[in-house]
Amino acid sequence: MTGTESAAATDLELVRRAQAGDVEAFGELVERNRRAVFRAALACVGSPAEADDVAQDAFVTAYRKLGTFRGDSQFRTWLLSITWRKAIDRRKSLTKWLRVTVTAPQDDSGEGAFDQMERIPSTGRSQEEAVVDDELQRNVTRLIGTLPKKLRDALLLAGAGEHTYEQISQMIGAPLGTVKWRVSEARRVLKRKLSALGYAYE
Amino acid sequence: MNNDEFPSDARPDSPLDRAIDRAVRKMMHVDPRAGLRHRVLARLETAPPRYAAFFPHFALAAGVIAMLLLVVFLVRRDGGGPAPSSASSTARVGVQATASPAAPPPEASSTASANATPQPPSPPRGAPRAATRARSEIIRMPQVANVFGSRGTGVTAADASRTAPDTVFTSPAAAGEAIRIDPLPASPSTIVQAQPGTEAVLAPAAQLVNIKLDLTMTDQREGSTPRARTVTMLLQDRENGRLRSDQGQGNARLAVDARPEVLSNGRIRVLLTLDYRPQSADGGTGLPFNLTQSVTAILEDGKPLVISQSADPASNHAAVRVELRATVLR
Repeated sequence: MTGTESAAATDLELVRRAQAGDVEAFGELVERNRRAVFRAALACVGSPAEADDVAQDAFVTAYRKLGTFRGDSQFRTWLLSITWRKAIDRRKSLTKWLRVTVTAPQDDSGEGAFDQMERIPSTGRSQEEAVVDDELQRNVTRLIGTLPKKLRDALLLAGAGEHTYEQISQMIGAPLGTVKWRVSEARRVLKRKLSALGYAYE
Repeated sequence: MNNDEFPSDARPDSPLDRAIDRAVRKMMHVDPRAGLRHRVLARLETAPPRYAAFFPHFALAAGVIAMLLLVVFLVRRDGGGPAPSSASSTARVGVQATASPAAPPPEASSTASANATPQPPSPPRGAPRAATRARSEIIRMPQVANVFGSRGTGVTAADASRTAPDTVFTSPAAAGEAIRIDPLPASPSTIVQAQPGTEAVLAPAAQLVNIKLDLTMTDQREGSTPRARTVTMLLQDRENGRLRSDQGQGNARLAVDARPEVLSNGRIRVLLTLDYRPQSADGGTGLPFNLTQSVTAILEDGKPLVISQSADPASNHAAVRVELRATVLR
């Protein structure tokens, strides 16, 4: 039994306990999957606050539908499918997606702890290079927001670091090869647009 | 659980690819707010159990099926004559529905009478009907004085099988009088099983009162006057409420999840999750820290309570005090 299988078996045990009414067992499932669920929602809705709400809704819905989970697939895969449907519904109701993307937390404000860490100058990197890199980052972030939804979803989900391609494939309901193609295509489109802005393609 | 960022066959090492990787990482490597588990479990507390959520639908469906089967039964009981008009079917459904412990309002009775009166008489039932009644089942019905009102309203409550063969309405005139219903040919137990289902077990009910939550956050920087902000939420007893206010990354942000519960002694228990980033005095970027807390507190009705008072963990140059007041609106 691999590590993954072992984790899946443990998830299954928790699911069975939760199905029997053990809310704490479901709480443990929430703890284990909160990051994957949150980032899947974030890839879709673009705003951490909205993603948090979607994640809550997804977990509550999953609990209510727990009786329909038979264990044919991994719990996380099943949960991510619910999350994605919730996130798509939320995105449809959001008319501010573009604005959220443009003012996305990481693009230009630089107030987050992550940004502050990123701004610590690294050795061997001149100040001019740092400024150019920052500008490039802002442009890339902005251009990601202009990608077609299908390409952007695939790119962000793949870059979230929490989902396998198989999970992404089942989550968004597209074949595995299509998911990989969308990621590559998103990168190609981004590089083409960056090249048009004057950045070196190669 | 990582795709190694992107497909290996598409993994390039150009500066643009690295820039894309970094941008995606920065966008996506964000963690959910603290207390997600607590918030989810708090919402689950208010979610009805699965069987309870399922039961009303089941009861409703069973009731509808039972009604349909009754209609079919009554139509067949008319003895193979021409199919009754939709108006007569409607009248029968109405009569069956009103034959419940709750007496119908006068309008309902008159409507049923109006629907029933113009029915054309059906052909008299012949001898074959008697054979089909060889087996019958008696179901005690609740005592109803006269669901159609007085006898002078036009509908005669009589023995349907003898004096008015085409009339399917029978009104139990005396206490304890039973209605005889032939068993349904297909599944006679369906109707019988549906009866106890209508007496559903009620879920534990919350009080039908609103509770006003006043959440006051007072933040202060060193050398400046305290700034207080009050957020008011109106929630029903044992219902969750959410409030989100976000000026964008780096600016003031407020996220509140709350659930009040009125206790038997009149106090109010409040489950509260708060994520608050204050705004600076000049309206620009926020104070250099967030306040995130999950707390359950018991409050006196209408009396404020300071539920937290915290300082900037790094410099102690800024502080936030959170005060909560719950008021039952009766």
